[in-house]
Order: sequence, then C-alpha cells, then structure tokens
Amino acid sequence: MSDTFTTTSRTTRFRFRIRNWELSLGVAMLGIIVIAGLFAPLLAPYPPNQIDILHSLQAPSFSHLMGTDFVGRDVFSRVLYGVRIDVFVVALITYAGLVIGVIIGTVAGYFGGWLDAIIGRVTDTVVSFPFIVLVLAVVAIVGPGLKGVAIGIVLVGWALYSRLARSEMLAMREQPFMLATRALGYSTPRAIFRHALPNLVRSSLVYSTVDVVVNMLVLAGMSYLGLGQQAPGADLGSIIASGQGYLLTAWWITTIPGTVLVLFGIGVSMIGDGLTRGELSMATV
Amino acid sequence: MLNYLARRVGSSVIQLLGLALLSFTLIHLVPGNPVRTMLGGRASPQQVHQVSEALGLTRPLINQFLGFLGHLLTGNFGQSFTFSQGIGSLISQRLLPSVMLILFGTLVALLIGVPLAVVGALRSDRPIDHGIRIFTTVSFAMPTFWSGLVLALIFALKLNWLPVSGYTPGFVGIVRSLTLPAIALGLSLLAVIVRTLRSSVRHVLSLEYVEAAQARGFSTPRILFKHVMRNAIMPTATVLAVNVGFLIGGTVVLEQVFQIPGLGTLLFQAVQQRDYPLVETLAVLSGAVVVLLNLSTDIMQGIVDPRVRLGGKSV
Amino acid sequence: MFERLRNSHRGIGQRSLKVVAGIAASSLAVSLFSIPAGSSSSSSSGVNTSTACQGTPVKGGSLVYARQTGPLTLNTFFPTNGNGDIFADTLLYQGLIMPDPKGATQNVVPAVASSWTESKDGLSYTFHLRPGIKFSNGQPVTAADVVFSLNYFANPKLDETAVLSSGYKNSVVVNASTVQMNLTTPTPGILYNMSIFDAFIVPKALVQKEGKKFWDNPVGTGPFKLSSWIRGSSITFVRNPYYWESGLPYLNKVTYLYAANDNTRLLDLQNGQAQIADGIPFAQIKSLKANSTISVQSAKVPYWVGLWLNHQRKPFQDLNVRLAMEYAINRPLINSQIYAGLGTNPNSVLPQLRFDAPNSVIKPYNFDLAKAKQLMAKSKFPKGFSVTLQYPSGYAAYTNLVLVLQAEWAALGIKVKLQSMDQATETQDYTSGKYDMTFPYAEFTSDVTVPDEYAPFVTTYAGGGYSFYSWWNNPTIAKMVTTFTHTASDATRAVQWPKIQKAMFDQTPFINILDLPFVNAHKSNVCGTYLNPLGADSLQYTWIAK
Repeated sequence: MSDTFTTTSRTTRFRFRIRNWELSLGVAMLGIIVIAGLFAPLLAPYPPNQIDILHSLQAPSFSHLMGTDFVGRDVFSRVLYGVRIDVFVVALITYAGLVIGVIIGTVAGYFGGWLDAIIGRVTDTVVSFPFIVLVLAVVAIVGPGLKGVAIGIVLVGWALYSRLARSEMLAMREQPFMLATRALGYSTPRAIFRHALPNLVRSSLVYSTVDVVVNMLVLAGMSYLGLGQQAPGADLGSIIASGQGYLLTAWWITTIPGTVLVLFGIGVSMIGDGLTRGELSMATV
Repeated sequence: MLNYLARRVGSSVIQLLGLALLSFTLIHLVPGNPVRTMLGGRASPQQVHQVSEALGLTRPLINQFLGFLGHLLTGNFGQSFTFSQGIGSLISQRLLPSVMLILFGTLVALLIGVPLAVVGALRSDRPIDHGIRIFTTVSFAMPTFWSGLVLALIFALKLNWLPVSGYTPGFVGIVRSLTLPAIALGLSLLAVIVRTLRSSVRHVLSLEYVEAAQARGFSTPRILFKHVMRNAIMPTATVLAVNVGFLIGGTVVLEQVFQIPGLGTLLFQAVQQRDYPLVETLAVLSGAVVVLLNLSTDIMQGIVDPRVRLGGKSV
Repeated sequence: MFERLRNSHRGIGQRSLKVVAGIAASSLAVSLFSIPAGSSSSSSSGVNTSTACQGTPVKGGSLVYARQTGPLTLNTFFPTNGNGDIFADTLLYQGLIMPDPKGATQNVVPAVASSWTESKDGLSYTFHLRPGIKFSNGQPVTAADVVFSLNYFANPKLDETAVLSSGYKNSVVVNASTVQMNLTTPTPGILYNMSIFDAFIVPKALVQKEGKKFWDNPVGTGPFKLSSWIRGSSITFVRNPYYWESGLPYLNKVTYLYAANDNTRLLDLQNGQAQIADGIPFAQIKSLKANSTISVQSAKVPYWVGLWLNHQRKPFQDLNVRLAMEYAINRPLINSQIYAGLGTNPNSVLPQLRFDAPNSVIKPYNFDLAKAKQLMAKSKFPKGFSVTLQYPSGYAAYTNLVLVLQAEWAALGIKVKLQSMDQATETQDYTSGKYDMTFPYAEFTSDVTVPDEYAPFVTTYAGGGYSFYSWWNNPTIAKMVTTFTHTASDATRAVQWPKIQKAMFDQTPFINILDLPFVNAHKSNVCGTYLNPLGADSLQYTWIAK
C-alpha cells in the first residue's frame, strides 16, 4: 500500500511540471461551468421556464444576456439550468458505470477462471454494440426521458471500465504487495477492496475524462432527438434542438448552448490530457 | 495461424450470440406485454392473443430465442409493425445512404487526420503539434449534430453551396448531399485517428531501421511513405474498426439533422413508433457489423504480424 | 403478416387542405371535366398567378413535394397514417364522384362516374360510368368493380371509416356501365362521404387475386400510378397513361418527400430540393412572402387545432373544469404570436363546416382569467390537478402552443406535464385511450365539408368509437346528430345543425384552440397548384413553367 502511494505522488509532481498549464486551464474551464450549474438558481436572472411570448426571439442584450427563445424564455437562465442538469446526470451515469465496471473487472481479474471467461464475453458483447443504438433500444423500452437515456448509458458504460480494471488486476495479482495480502491471510474482500481497488481505479479515473465527454455528447444527442429531456425542462441538447428552426433568425438559441457543450468537452479533455501526458512522460522516463 | 483463426472466430461467434441474446432480452423486458403496448390499451384479449401467436410470442422463451436466431441466420427478419413491410427489404432500401455516409465520413477523417498526425509526429511537442492537439480536442468535444447544424447554417443556408438536407443517389448526388454530414462525422472521428496514428508514427520513427535509413541519407518523404506509413496502416485500420460502432451512432443522429433516409432514420422511426421487432433487428445487425469488422481486421493483422497470432493480443 | 389492429380513425382526420376556394368557377357543374385542361389555371384565388404561370401549361417535368407525413399503407380503405396515406391515395385512386378538385366549390363532381341521378325518395342513386374509363394498368373499369368497391366501403371489417357509410344498403349492377346504390334511409351526406378515400374504386379481380399484396403495387383510376416507395422516407409516382382527363396530368413524375420537421421542409423548398412544401411553419410565413421566388398559398379548409380531453379522467368529467380551461386560453395572443394571426377564434368544437352559425349567434369563448378561476373554484377540483399533454414533435407551432397552454392553465392550478411524440405514435395512443389530453392529429381536418363525418364520430359512443376516443357520452346530443344526418332536406338541416353546434360548444367536451387555414408554399414557377376543398392536392393540374 505504501509504495503505491509514493508512486502516485511522484507521478503527480511530474505531471504538474510537464502539463501544468493544460491541466490548470482544463480545471478552470470545467470549474466555471460546474459552478455556474451548481449555483444556477442564484445566478439565473429569470426562472428557466418562464415564458414571455411578447418578448420572443430577442437578440442578446443586457436584460437577456443570451437573448430569448421563441416563447420569450431567457436563454441564459435556461443554459444555466441546462448545465446544471446535464453535468449532474453525466457525472452520475459516468461514475456509476465506473464503480460497477471496476468492481466487476476487478473481481473477474482476481478470480480468473470461468467467472472471468463469462464476464469477459459479456463485456465483449456490450462493447461491440454501437453505443447510441443500444441507448436508443433502451429508450424504446423505457420511454423517452432522461431516465431511459441514463439507464442506457450505464448499461453500456460499465463494460470498458470492467475491461480496464480486469487487465490491471491481472497484472497486479502477481505483484509483491498483493501476494503479501495472501501471505498475511487477509480475506478476499479485504484484498480486493482495500488493496487492489485503490490502485486500479486510477487508470479508470483517467479514462473517465474521455467517457464524461462521450456521455455528455450522447446525452445531448438524445435530447436533440427529443428522446432525452422533455419540454419544458432545459437541457443543452434540447435547447439546441429547439433553436434549429430559428438558425437564420435567432442564431443565439442554437450556437450558445452548443458552445457551452464544446467548452465543457474541451475542459474535461484537457484535464484528461494533462493526466495522461503526465503518465506517458512518466512511463518513458 | 489456424489456431489463432479458430480462437478468434470462436470468440466472435460467442459475441454474436451474446448480441442476439442481449437484444432479445431487452425486448422481452418491455414492461407488460409488448404486443399490448404495440396494439394499444383497447385491443381485446383475443386480438392480443392473435398477434402474439402470429409473432410466435406464445411459445416458450427458449424456442422463441432459437426461432429469432434462425431468422437472423436465414436473413428472414420478419415484418415491421409500423411499415407493414418485411424488415429485410426495409433495411435493404435504407442501407446505401448510411454506408455511404460512414465511408465518406471515414474518408474525410483520414484526409484531414493523416496529414495532421504525420505533422504532429514529425514535429512532436512543437507549437504545431500542440495546435493540432487543441484542434482535435475541439473537434472531439463538438456534438456531431451541432457541428452539422453549424455547417448547414454556413454552407447551405448562408452560402447556398450545398443542399441543406436529403439524399440523392448517384455519384454527384451523394457527393453533394453527404458532404456536410460526412464532414461533421469525420470531425468527430478525427481526434482518435490523429492520436493513434501520431503515436504509431512516432513509434516507427524511433525504430532502428528507420533511424538507419535516415542515417543513410534517404529523404524524409521517402522514409515516411516506404516505412513509416506502411507500418502505421494496421493500427489505423484497427482504430477504424473499433470505432465503427461510434460511427454508426454518429450516423443515427446526423441522419436526423440532414434528413437522410438511411438506417439511422429507420432506427429512430422504429424507436419512436415502438416497432420492437425492427429495433431488435437493427440493434443486432449493427452490433454484428462491429463484431465482423473487428474480426476481419484482427485476422488481417494476424496475417501481417505474427506476434499477434502468437497470443500477444487476445488476452 | 397480420392485420394492423390499431383500429384508428386517423384517416379521418388528417387530410386537409380545403382549397383555396376561390369562389370563381361556379360554372363547374356536373360535366366540368370536359373543359380543356389548363384553361382555368388562373381562375382560382390562392393558386399561383405569377407571370410565369400566365402562359400555356407545359407538359413534362418532375416535382418534389416535401410533406409532413408520408404513407404507411396504400390500402385506401384502411389508412393508418391519416393524411400521409390519404393524400397519396388521392393521386392513385378516385371514387365515383370526388370533391371539386380545384376547390372552387364545396360540391362533389363526377369522377369515375360521368353522371348520376337520385331517386325522388332519396333512397337510391344511379351512377353512369364514364365511357372508356380505365385503371392505370389499362383494364377497363366495370360495374362489377364499382359494386365490389362500394361493398368494401360499407364493410366495417375492411373499411376503417365504414361508419361513414351509415345508411348504405347495397349496390347492384344495372348494366355494364350503370350501378345503382340503395339506402335504408335518406342520407344526403353519403355522397360526400363516398367521394373520398373510403370509397375509391379498385379492380375487383386483381384485389381478389392478389389479396394484401395488391396494396404494395396498387392500381386505380387516379392521375398517377406508383413508381417506387421507400417507406418512411419517400414515394414516387409517375403519370397514369390511361388517365381519363384528356391531356392530364402534365407532370411526368411526382415525389413525396417525407420530412417530419416543419423547418426542414421549408429549408428543402428554399434550398431547391423540393419545389413545393406543406405545413409551413406559421412563424416563417411573413419572411417567406418577402421571397420573390416562392409563393405562399393559403387555403380555407376544415382544419382546426383540436385538443382532445379524455373523459375517463375525472377532472375532465366536470363541466366547470372544462369551461375554466376554455376561459383561461388567451386565443388572440396565441393567434398573433404563434399562428401569425391566420387563425380565427372558433365558435364550435369542430372545424368550420357547412351549416355553422356565425359568431353573432354562437359566441366564442373570450379570454377571462377571473371567470376561469371562479369556475375552477366551483368545480370538484378547486385546487387543480395534474395531467399529461401529448403533442406532436417536429412542429414549431405545437411546441410553442403547449408551453403557452401550460403556463395559462398553471394559473388555475392545473399542472400540465408535456410529452412530445412522433405524430403516428401519438395518434395510436389516442385511439387506445392512453392519454389525458392530446392533439389526435397533427394536421386535424374534416374529410368532408359537411358535418356528416365528424358529428357522428364525436357523438357515437357505442360500437367501439367512444365518441372519437374522447369517452364523452351525451345521448341527447347523439340523438340530435342522428336525426340531422338522416334528414333529406338541406333547409331543415340548416336549422338543426346550429342547435347541435351550440349544444356541443356549451359542453365543450374537447377544446378547439383555433380554426386555421392550410398553408403551403411552392416555387413561383410551379403553376396550377390546386387543392380540393379538403386540402388534398390535385396535382393533375400542376405544371412547371420554364
């Protein structure tokens, strides 16, 4: 346990030297977006669903920073609330998938044998399904709404983490500190959860920065298709979709939430890159 | 080699079975009776029974599953509820636009991605490399439907160069109608291509024989094409095969943005209209495409690179 | 594989455009079709009168029509997708008689029959087939084909809207070119009801031989025949060489391109992929009119934004609740902000139909929030209730309308949950009673200009129709309607109908948000774009100017 910790902190220092700016920029971008979503109720100048049809499709101004939509709702307020729900849902589903996947993968890797074989085949099957197709199939069954989309994403999302954790576990199983747990007579759960997991979860966490972006895009895509967030709820994908008919007359409805989505993705990716780069450099040293 | 082949084919078959089983299970998870859901609440019990029987839903589950597998194998996919047409012929009518979009999108990704990757590898960690990385990060973070909309806004609505939606058969028609969606699709794939290819190019460049070639005074372009690219093709093909599922997903959304009458649109319509048999079939088939493509790249790789078939890969 | 069991009456509702009605050609009577084709292309208002269309019609060319909904079946007796099916059927088939295809009048005119006579007692009609008329496969239309088709019309197992054949007794072959149709009781509306898709003429032998397959490659007497069909995406028709109107149609080819999103259709038109588009988003009409390459055509048809309330839900059984909801709707605001001011405040729960009383006699509901709140307080649900409102996706107007309704009814304590759906799925849920409030058809129209279709639909509870799936049961009004539909004299009917109209309006079992015109738009060089009084396109008159 203790030697892992040293490894980690050494990596951290190294990473910060190499990719400091990228990581910091990513953290800053993501931070602003997350805080904006978190404090949406305080920051939003209007209730997100308050319509004012006599002031519809107004261009951005001081009273409406991002303009208004076709029924006069304040786009800025809707974007804030949209970020709030999207970030919450994405974090929830990504890390639910991570937890489930890591546990399954670790168990498979630790025990090996037929259990591993079965889990491996299930993982392969799930991974080979085109992601969006499977999410759509789940939505067809559960019905449109964030719930169906979330279930669908988690149903697919765990598999890659499971693969990752399994291969790490395989490698780790033979390492001295894991052998030691057996020699010391620790129970299997203790060996897995106290000693192995904390070490394998790092690579999954790094990978999750990619996954968060992908999930956000899928979530937005589903809402864009009208299968995610239902009206009048605000969500970045549905705001973009609702502005599609007004591309020429009211560009702000579509372009601004889209930009927020892109910035979110860039922020998360930069964090991921920062972490990975640090690791890669570490590996080459 | 045969051994490897057998192992690889065997695991693909298991995967395909798994796909069928998963789709089958999903559809049978429909709360309540799927036939009732399809027919609506007022259908009489006799009607429900009649349709259930027609669909073979009154048989034991295992028989149903075997029947479903049999249908898949024989290409007889049954009837779509919504379109009152055979699923097989529905799919064949819609296949071409989607395939074209995927191929075109991949082509766009390669046309942009390969030069970027090579430049990035040759000038690694220089400003241009960082620039390329930032560009691919941005392209990765853009939702395909949104970049599609923005492209449509600029090139179709403002400049009026290309159609804003639809699909026209024929070479010119395809080029015109699929250019914008293909760019949007290609952009979403760009990051993964550039990154994979860049690191494999870097890897090859660092190999001894390449260094030797450099030392012997061969020009960089020649080395690039003769040695480096040849060695980088396989990893790129693998990346493409692995990501074909991602591409299929992208087409589902993009076909909606651009109103392309492909399989993505069909799937979307099937989901909206609760046409479960159609959803089920499309899900299995799209998964099968991924499995089979991966299988064929793996086999190709096994032929090209003996290390693979000797067990380096299939952990 | 098996019959579609949905039992929906979608068909009924959805077609729509009543044409334009330019009032011009009142001379179109029984023999109107001998007029040389094209001579009247500029006579009807609403039709393209741009200078490009002043010349002589040109033969040839192909037309792409971007449409909000496409056919799911070409079985004209059993449409499952409303206007999506019916507007395609109207190109392929015709009945003995048809609604005036140029929409100049609201009358029925000869089609497969060249003339007809009515017996004095109103109990039988004799139809004379048009000499030499042929199906699109070249086979002649026989009296046996007609009898076969009319029996289909009256068979509830084979014809989805067989309720429209009420009063039909039988048909008999008089001679090779004459058919007599007998009624059990005088039913003047039956002529209208048999002028539409539910009584189109099909070849007996072929239908019997091919069974269900016939509908995959059907044969009729319409101006076009099927060329190719990609279900859910597009359908292409080519000229029927045996069409009976000489020299028609002008177009070689017509493609219906299905685009569920209203904005997409408009973009298709502006961008040139389509030359004509229906269901133009109201908000864009003004900017379109400024575009000189595009003509906007607005047609008065029996088209309304009908919101159905499910009377199986307790709150909607309470008249005070329904009235409160009516008074809480700010129609002038909705009309001006969402429907570009094109709508009219209705005084009927049905669309505008013949025999309707004017606003001076039956007054519309005017927005009055205070009164609405009083009514709500008097109701059994003074604190309000929660309901789900289903609406069709892809329509800017509906998307905006439901948000406004949600806000307006929130003032009464009614919590409205919104659920957007594919329109076909929404209709399916509607016919199976799985809804609280819904717009049954995205494009909700009467198929005939008289009340004889909708009045029985919405009041007949028995027989599985449940008052057009509203589960509203009012035997008194139902009886008034039955008397009305079986009264032979139009003068008497004109007195009976306003009473029914008022009784229903006072009960407001469903809500008519607005009466609307049909709006489509086409390139300025697309000429002769006539619609019949129900909104179906009469593309046989359409031609493309150079």
